[in-house]
Amino acid sequence: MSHEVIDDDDDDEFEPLFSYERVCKPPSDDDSDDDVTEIGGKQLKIKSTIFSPSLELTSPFGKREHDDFVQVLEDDDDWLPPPPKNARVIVDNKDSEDPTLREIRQAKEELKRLAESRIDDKLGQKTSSLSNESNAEAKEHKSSAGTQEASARKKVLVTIQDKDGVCKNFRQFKDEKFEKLFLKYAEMVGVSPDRLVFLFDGQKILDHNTPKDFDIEDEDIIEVNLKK
Amino acid sequence: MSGIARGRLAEERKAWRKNHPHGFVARPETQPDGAVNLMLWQCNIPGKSGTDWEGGFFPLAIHFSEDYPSKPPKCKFPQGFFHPNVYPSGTVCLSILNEDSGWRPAITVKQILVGIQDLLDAPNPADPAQTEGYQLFIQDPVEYKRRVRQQAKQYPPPI
Repeated sequence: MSHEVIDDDDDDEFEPLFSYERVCKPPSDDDSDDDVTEIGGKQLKIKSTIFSPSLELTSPFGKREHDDFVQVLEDDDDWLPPPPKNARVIVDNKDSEDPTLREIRQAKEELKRLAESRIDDKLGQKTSSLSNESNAEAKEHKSSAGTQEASARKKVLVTIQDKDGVCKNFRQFKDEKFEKLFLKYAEMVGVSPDRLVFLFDGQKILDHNTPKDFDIEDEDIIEVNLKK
Repeated sequence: MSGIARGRLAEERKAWRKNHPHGFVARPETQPDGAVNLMLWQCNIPGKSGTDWEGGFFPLAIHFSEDYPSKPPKCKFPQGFFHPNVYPSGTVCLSILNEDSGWRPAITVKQILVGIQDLLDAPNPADPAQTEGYQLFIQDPVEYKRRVRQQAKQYPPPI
């Protein structure tokens, strides 16, 4: 009893979840078309746009329209060559073919194939070099963006500690002169700036120094002393 | 072994940069080629204000061994430093720096430096390390005072 009930439940639960009938088929071949247009340039793109709508339009109207369409394509030298129209005829006539004619035909076909393969090779090279270039460009973009980020001015949190151990925090650019900060500090504590001496690791910090000069990191302590 | 010493010293340096008593300096030695030697620190201890040591900025080298922090570092003032508990070589004689008495691995660089600052004005006559400093301290307090003040002037702060 209980078994049956469980089985039923399982069916109810899982059937809709795994029903592949609902899954939509993704539009096919769109991607490949896009790729071609990117690499091959304008000409191909134009043709492909001509090709697909006309195909859709012509198909419902029957054979005649379609034939016309094929003819249009044939006029275009650059487009994919139509399947050899004569091939069938030739095959049919093969046995009765004159040996010299056959030789000529074979040579012709050989030449054609050679030419085609060369074109393909060249195209392949071009596309690969193109993609290399675009890759290199992308890399360049990335690296330049990286350096821009790195050169973006970073701030550092500086702690100034006086003789009584009282600390005050300041934030300033790593490559900014200490001058402004020292003046501000002098103003805060009400002492003439030229009476203050700032030290990091026992070394005197001058107005024109920057945090970078001393490799100062966040929260590093700078000591301030009063000149006597 | 050395990994432990260097790791601890890197932490000590990090902590020091963020927080240390005013007037003290403690930084690992930078070698001529720019490399940092964590095993030798060049430090400065300011003389306490209100004492005869005030105004002095006394240089101290701390030598750490590969056995640090199991064993204490060796702390050295310049040779001939005037103080009853400093050996003629400059080595400081202090209980917390003695492996057999006061040293504990948890003692920090900061605690060592503050401990030595305390020792300057509070020598321990029970444990002398040099005759001159010890004898003047016991027998001629006035001369002892004069010598201490003179030495403080000998090591002025970098202002």
